[in-house]
Amino acid sequence: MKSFISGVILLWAALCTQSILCTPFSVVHAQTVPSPQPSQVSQALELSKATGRPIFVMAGRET
Amino acid sequence: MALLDRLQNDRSLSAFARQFVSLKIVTDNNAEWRQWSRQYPMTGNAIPQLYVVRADGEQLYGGAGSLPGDALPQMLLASVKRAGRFFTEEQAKFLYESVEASEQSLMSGNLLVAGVRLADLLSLGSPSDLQSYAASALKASELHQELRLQIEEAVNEANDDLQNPENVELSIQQIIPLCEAEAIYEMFPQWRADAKEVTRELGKEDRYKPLLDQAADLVRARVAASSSQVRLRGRAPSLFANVMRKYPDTKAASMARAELLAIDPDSKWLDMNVAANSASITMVEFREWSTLDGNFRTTAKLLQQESGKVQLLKDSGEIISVDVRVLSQRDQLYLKEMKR
Repeated sequence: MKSFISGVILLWAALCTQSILCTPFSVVHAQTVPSPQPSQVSQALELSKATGRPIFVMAGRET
Repeated sequence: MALLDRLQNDRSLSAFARQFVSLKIVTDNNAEWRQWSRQYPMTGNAIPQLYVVRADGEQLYGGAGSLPGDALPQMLLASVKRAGRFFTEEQAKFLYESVEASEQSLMSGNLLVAGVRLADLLSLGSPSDLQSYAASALKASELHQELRLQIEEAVNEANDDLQNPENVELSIQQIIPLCEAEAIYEMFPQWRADAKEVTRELGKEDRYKPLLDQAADLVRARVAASSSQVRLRGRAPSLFANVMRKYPDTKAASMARAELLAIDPDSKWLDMNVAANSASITMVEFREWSTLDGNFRTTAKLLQQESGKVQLLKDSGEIISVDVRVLSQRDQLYLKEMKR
């Protein structure tokens, strides 16, 4: 039951971030410090796992 | 970053926007980047480094340096083709909840509920292959296979039990696993052909027939009670009541009553006098009922008339309550006759 509830919360959190992550190629920046919990990388991974959408990643220097 | 500007402003790329989860990882002094690059190593140091990773973690693309001109949309298109189907937020939530409920039920040995919740996914496609790499879709496929194995095991056990010469007295509990297996098979198109096979041999023997009928009606009520569809779940109390009325003083009736009490402690059906009603039910026949305007017709038998309302038992087993005033003249005359 605990894992079910935490799973639902995680999914909800992942889906909530979708609007931030996915307006036409608006890009989430995984910053250096401080790193929010859960991290934006793990949020993106969770969202991808939940919806089946692939992740498009750009790795580069901060501009 | 020129690529970032292009992604946000190039209209030819907007079609891809909703098909990807987009992420920028800053590479300078970033623990997340170190972790990412360990998991998805890449040769070359050109910036930016681009990746497409499928929902199950499989890397679909990895390359150093931006992709000029058509190379970027071509890479995105090729990736989308290999990425499988994706779901909307609402579908993903429904998928997750159905799979979780099905898995919990399977783990606790409740195959019927596991089947019902998995069958809910038929609105998205076949649960055995939803053609997606979403975690819950992959899990649904595993559950579908596991459910089939567990059903076959339950059917074999039930048949062994019925054929055991030491078990002289038959009980409905011996038959229920077979009726549940039949009901689950009926839910999935690729298993439907196997459904009738489950109880075919038993149905030929007179001594099993009454218990098969009782178990089938009880399982029908259970299927409705465990559905995630509100409309179907709303029919469960009358289906349990139907078992209580049709088979009074049986184990099936007491099980139906207990299960009705569990889902609806205030149900009006719990107050009914099963014995009295069952006697009168057998005296009336199924007939055609219709409304005054003729828009509604059903085949049912009269259960009760009281305070200007009638309760009708439909041939599907559902019990409905109808205002006498909306019934046809013919039906109202019939009701007057029955009152005498």
